[in-house]
Amino acid sequence: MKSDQQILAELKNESTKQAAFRALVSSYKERLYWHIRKIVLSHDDADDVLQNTFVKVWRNIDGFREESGLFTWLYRIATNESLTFLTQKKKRAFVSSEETNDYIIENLQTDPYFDGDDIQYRLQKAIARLPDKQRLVFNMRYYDDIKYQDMEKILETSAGALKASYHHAVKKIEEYLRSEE
Amino acid sequence: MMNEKKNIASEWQNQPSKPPFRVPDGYFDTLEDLIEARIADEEAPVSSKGKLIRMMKPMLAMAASFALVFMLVYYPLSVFLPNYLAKNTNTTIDTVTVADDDLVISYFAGFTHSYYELFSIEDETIEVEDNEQEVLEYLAFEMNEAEIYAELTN
Repeated sequence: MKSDQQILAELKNESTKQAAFRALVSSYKERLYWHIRKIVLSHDDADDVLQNTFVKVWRNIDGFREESGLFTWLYRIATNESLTFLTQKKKRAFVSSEETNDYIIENLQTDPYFDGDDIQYRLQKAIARLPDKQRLVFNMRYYDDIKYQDMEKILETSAGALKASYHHAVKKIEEYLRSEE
Repeated sequence: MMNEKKNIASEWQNQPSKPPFRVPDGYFDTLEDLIEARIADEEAPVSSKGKLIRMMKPMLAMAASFALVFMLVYYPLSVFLPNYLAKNTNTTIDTVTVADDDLVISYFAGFTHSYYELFSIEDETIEVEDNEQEVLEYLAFEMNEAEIYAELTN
């Protein structure tokens, strides 16, 4: 598998650009998919957002100035695309934020690609009810074990604020799980 | 009960921190091809017909929205207020029947203060001037209000 440096060098060359982009997709498709899936929850939505993300990467790759790492840049695009997708979905459904999250969760129960037991379903329900930022931080920390230093660059928020968000998220999840019983 | 709540609320932290989702079989195997095909499709030059359709899309969407709103208003009205619709339908028919010239004239002649009447005022004025003497005689012959009252009481 090619390194990020190799991929970036080849992306700058017109003759190797196509192949390098394919390598980039191969290298990041699963990580980005799971990052997106945890935000939008349904597989079909995650597939749409992932494709949008890579199309956006292709269009903007010439403008990537390497100030941040490729990983950070890709995660940032995927995060923004996921949040934009959810906002558009809410607008299309003419419902408030909380109602839309409930709708996503209702679909999750009948989703053939959801493998969770009752506790995991309730945990997903609790996560879905969190504000966007706390949800992102919780998912990235709890499931992906991403360091706060890396999260700082992706979410453009200080490590202190991210730690506070994670702490609030955990408290809210526990409160919700207690109230659900 | 309280202990059970506490257990469930903290149990999730002991769960494997792996998202409880899966993907369709072979999903990741074809992803590169799908994305490349989509990019190629988006970068393909758009024909003038395609451009026209793209330009027309918002207008067509708006027309469809108006049609939908009309249907949403018309259908409940036709079900719940059929009399209201029937009244409005007559008005429409009156408007539609003004195509023929003769019908137009007869239509406007029905009004006391119509444009048709204004056009014919000149002729009537001439007639009045011709019979001016007769009118003066008629007026001179007319009884005043007191005379009418006296006639009626007798």
